[in-house]
Amino acid sequence: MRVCKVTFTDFMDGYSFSINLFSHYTTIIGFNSGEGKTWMFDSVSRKQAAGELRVDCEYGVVFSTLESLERDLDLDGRVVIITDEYTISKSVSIMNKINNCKHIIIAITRASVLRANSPLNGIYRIILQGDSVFDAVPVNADNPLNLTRSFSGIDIIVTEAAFEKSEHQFISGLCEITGKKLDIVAAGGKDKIAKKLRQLSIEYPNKGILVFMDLGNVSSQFKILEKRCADNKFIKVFDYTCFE
Amino acid sequence: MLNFIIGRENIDLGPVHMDSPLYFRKAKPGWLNDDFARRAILAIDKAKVLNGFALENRYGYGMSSEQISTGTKTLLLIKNQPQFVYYASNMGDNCVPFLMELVKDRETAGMGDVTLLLEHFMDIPYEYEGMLKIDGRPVTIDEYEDAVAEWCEHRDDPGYKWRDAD
Repeated sequence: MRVCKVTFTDFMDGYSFSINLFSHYTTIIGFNSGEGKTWMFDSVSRKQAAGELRVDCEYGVVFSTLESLERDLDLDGRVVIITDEYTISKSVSIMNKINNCKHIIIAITRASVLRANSPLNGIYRIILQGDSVFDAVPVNADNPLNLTRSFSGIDIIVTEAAFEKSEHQFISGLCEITGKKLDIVAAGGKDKIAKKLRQLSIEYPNKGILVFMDLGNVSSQFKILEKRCADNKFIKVFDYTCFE
Repeated sequence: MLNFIIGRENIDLGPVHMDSPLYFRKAKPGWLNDDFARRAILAIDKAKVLNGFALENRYGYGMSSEQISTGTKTLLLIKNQPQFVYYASNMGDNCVPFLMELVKDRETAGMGDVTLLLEHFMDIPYEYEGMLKIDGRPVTIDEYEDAVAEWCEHRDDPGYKWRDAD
């Protein structure tokens, strides 16, 4: 997979951090308030303008505000646009323009209101390491979804796909061929997975559960799934992305 | 109770104050000096209120009230300008205990629900079971979680209609 990297090097405070861009849309997510997301945006953009911070990337990088975003989206060459989600979600026309633009978007967000979801490895969080000293860390750095490619210890498989569709059909067929005895449960939609996991965790508290879902398009569900995985250590998520 | 309207398509955005930092510019020094604000700012921003708009950040440097988090600003707006609907997605999970304190205070004062527009999964612990509504209808925390998950997916519909924010 081709990756575009943006590196921020602060000469004044002597730190540097990078964000890898895997898709059209990268999310800097906020779980708590006061984590330093807006502080980072303000500090980094101001220092870049003052020449105290260098941004390295194969494309130009612009910090867009409410006043400048529409103009920045009209730039001729492809650029990386870093902005606050409120700026993006301000109007339908801006959101449509973002969804259809050729630029690469890094959005500081909690709500993810765009259609353009981030893949799991395109979701970052900001870590405040000192006064105006920042780091950006992928949310899956500590493997909160218990990603795995192993079927070991698994009793139940939950698929994003509906009954006898896609992964559900494939895994059911595979179990039939190999004689493997697993319960294959169809959630029937990404939004139904967390509910299914909650029910299964109550019904079978000690059974290993493996979730098959497209991690290439996960951002809005990430936090709920993370909670389910934290509540039940027997839940694992199969590590794959599906570009349909 | 805490009443969530999930998704901006389900509310008249006229009375919704989405941009908390914008509205917080009209904050009064007294908003920051009271006990609730001091506790919230200490817990969420890890900063101390010295006096009114003057604060000390977690590293011992000066900061202004403009620099407190959007979540804290939203809490202080809910407390001090309760006539408006605010954007819950401006608030992180560490705002929830303070938000629920405001909900209880408002209920005790006979002022009704705190209504907020929500567009993300705010993690509400089970200790607040019985305090949630969606669209004015009481829901359990599990029902709330399912509703948010469903909305997040529905939101991805290409035909989904959005309204312009204020």
